[in-house]
Amino acid sequence: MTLFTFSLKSLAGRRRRFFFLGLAVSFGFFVMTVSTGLTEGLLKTVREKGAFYFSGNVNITCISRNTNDTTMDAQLLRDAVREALGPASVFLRSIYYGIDAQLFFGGATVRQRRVIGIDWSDEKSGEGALNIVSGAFPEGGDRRAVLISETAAKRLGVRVGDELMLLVTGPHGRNTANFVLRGIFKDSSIFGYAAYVSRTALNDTLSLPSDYATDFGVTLGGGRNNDAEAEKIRAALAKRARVFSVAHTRAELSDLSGGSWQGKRYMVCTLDAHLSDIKQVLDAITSICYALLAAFLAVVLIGIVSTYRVVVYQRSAEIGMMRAIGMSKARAMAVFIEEAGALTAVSAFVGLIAGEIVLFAISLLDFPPSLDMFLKRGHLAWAIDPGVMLGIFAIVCASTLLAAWIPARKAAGITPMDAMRAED
Amino acid sequence: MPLAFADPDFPAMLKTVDSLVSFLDTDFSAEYKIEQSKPGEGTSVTDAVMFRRDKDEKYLILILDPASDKGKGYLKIGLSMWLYDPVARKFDFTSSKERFQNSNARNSDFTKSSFATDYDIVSTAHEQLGKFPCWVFDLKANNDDVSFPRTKIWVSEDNLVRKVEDYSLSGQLMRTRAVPSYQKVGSRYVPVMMLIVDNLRGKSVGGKFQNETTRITITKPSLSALPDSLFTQAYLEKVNQ
Repeated sequence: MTLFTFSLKSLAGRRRRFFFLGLAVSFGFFVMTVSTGLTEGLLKTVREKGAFYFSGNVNITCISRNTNDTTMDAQLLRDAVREALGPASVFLRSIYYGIDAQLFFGGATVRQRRVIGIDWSDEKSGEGALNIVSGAFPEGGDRRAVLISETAAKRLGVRVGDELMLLVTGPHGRNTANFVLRGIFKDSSIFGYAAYVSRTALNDTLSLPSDYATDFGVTLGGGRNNDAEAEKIRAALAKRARVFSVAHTRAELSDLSGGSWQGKRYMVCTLDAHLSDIKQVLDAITSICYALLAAFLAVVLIGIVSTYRVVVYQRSAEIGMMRAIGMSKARAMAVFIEEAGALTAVSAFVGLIAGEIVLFAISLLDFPPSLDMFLKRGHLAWAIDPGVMLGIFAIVCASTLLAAWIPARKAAGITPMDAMRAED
Repeated sequence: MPLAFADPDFPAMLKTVDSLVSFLDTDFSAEYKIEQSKPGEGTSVTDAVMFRRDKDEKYLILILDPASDKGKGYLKIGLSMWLYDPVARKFDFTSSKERFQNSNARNSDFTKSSFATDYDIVSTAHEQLGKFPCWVFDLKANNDDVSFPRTKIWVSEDNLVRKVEDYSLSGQLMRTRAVPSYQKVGSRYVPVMMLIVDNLRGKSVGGKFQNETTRITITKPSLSALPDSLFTQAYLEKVNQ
């Protein structure tokens, strides 16, 4: 019989004594599973939406001073990204930031914070970030397509299949173009005040060259460090063109374009620079979670130390017997450590399963539109990062083993004679 | 089939419909009263004077009342259209598809009729509309410049439009217009009153949904010649000095 099996049997035999301790570990792990699952889910959703809205996990723009040349060299950028990251998903966008962008329908009008010209076929993968609730993501080459938010659609009284008029101001003055509404996405957050149209159609409306682009986006898969990848891209780009240092925050983003410089320069920016305000909120939520974890660990540690002190006292005779028949000190200590480990493992597993069940139940609930920024089709998405959960499990295990180690050491130090006396 | 019962020449009929309410050989001016009713918000009244020169696709509308909008002007020349704000003293680009003074009328409602040129006939039917036996034309726009891509018109035996239903591209009914009576001006016709029901916008009042409506009454129609200088931005600026 292995020591672990022995420990499990020992725990089962004393289940009443360990029940509340196990319950505390389970509850703690359950809370951590739910809180980290939700935080990870929120972060993932915001990042997905942000990456679509702000043109990629890493975004490159071109700015100029004392020259009118703001043309992006798409091939040069593709080469730089390929050198830095190998094959990567990249796309071009033409974004209109003018405050006068308006959509007209049926005599009603609604202003848009930005009009984003995209290549439908290049960004099909971003469809999930948009939460399309009516219609569909346009097919590649659909120059007449427009996607607008549910809020804008309601204010206009428009439905999929209707024709909208877009008003924008290009270098040669105001212009209008008609688009057909192909899809309505649900988002009343900051990501919602945008209309998506075909890049070439927007360029034509603005009287710009069809291949004109304002943004070059790089999509990075989950788990990749945006900051590190942005630095690699910047280094590769610096060999080919003049480029600012990477902007990691919104403040850096605005500072970079200041100073004394001339001509045309590229600016590499991470998604976090755009999401810094939101990220602060999410970092605060994460900090609260970890504070909860610390509090939970403290409670569990105290509980384990207290419980095992009682256990050692009550099992003195048993320990003495085991020591009398030849069990070494180390092995006697290991029995208690293994028991604590088994208790933690089983309880944590129960807490994990219970947490996932609750997360699944939460994901079925409808949430109000005020939380749209964090929602996928009106629901909270959750995500369990195995690395994070393993980390928490390791911390919990290490803490409980440490807590068990003190009374276990005391137990191992009991001589058979002392144990017999204690039984008397 | 006896000739007497044969269908009329519908494209020619549409041309007649347009010509009866368009002024291609004279100028046109009149006073317009626009009463806008929004459920639960009461009625607002706008008085305006309209100057039209259909042969050049021009019109100018000058707001006379309420005092807060007095001096505002809409100038349309061809496909371009501006709205003059006398307070800011500046012209803003606007579209003929936009609402006129936040009413249910569109800026395009004040220009000449162009069913025959802007729309293709999809189908026709004969229908009784109140006391008027009418031909109903289901029309589809052949260009993007019109306010509505689909429209349905009821034309009475005197070739005057009595009812219009405007549809969006998806087939959504957006507006219904009724023109119960016309007044004759020379050899042409001008509505005495026009009622517009916005089928999209309204509010529930007392548990019942009520649509926004606009009533336009046209008085003092005239075919007198108008000076060229009237259809200019300078005129709108000058009249507000």
